[in-house]
Amino acid sequence: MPVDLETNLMNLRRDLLALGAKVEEKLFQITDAILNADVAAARDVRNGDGEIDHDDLAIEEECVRLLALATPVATDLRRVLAMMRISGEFERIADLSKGISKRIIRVSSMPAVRLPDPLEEMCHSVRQLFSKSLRALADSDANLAREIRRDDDRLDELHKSMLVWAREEIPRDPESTNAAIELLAIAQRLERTGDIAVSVAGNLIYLVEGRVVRHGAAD
Amino acid sequence: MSSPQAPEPTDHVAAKHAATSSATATEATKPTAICIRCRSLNSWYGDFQALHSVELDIPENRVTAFIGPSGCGKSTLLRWFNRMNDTIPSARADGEITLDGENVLDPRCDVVDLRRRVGMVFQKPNPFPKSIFDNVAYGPRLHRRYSRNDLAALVEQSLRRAAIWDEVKDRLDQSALGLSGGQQQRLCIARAIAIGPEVLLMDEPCSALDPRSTAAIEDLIRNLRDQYTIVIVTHNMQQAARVSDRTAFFYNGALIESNETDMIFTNPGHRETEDYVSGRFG
Repeated sequence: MPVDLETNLMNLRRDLLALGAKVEEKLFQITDAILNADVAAARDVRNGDGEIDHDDLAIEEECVRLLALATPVATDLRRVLAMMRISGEFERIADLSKGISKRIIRVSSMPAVRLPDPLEEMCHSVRQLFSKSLRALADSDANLAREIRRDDDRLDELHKSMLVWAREEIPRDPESTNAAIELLAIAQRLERTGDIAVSVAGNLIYLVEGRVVRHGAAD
Repeated sequence: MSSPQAPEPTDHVAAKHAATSSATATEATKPTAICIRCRSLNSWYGDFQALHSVELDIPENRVTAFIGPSGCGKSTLLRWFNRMNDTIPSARADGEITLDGENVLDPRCDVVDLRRRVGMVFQKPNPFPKSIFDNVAYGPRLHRRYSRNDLAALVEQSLRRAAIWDEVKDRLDQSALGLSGGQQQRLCIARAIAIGPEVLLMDEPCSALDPRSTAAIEDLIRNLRDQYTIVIVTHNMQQAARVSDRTAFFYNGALIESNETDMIFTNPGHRETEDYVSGRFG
């Protein structure tokens, strides 16, 4: 297929946003499943990430094709590189959602534990964070991307609160130990999802401004 | 895009420390002496002004690429570095081009000595209709008298540096015109090297060559950069990206931007540069 770089880049962006929307849907599904202890919804998430894997691979293939055939430079090069990275990050978020679904299914067979407040807030917080990163991507808004980097601090605090909760809950009710461990693992995956949303934001800043802000690089 | 009144050019070597990302800084930020310095350089062909107030530093022992659309002034500037423009009656320039502190535009400048110090390789290989040996020996013989052995050693050394010795060592007495285009171009580089220049100017040296010969010349340029200051004019963006340490972009006779090549091709400072390297015009 011949290369028309501008058209191909626009199509790539459209496909990336579509992938982002699918991942957002998964994230909402899995956080709903956490909030409502909905095992059926968790099973749906567990069984349904093949399409996301496929889309991620298709985006990567298209990026490689454009790099090889169109040898993009400057902003075009950054667009290809950033979109390839962001696509991989979306796929990892879908993987984390799948991991969470397995934990939800496991918890459902254990003695019931009330959903800890920090975990409930993490669910809402990670949704906002990811949706904001998608909005920043759709609008190529580097300032919004910077906000996401700040918002993630709240998610980190909530994750720490979950550790405090577990330290108190397990001695108080030793029978809840296994469920508490599973909930901690879920919290860890939500926290990781937030980190990846931050990484998406970092790649967006690179795309828009050519500035590398990952791994603690000065912004 | 039509105005030659360029934005402030974001030269120079002095600014590169700030402009270069830390990941690539190891080599790029090594202190580099300036070999050629252009200050307030203007140039005309008759009434037509071809260069406007060019301020540019060419660092020593680095490869600097000049890029820009046809007619932007890059070859004009290159040809002032060794006063090749003297052969064009309507060409004139003011301002300064200093080579190791000496203004080459000064009428008192010894042009023969200047061209010994600043060698040139042209777009089309132009070997003399002589033997391979005589092509390389021609320049040195003009400048001084050599013993037979010294001249043979100099020819061999020049051909080796130009990465063509192994291909021609058994036929040095044969005509240079029998060589392939890529070999002829490397022979011309050997010829330029033989007179002991400090600077090598290359005006689209690969535009008449096939991809394999182009790759050989590009390898050679990379190998020569430790010994010579190289300035190359090229229309091939990928070639500029592959072989040069620094890139200067010209448009309508103005220097728009000069910076580390990495920066020009990943995050240029001016919209005009971005559009040109991305192939959106020119």
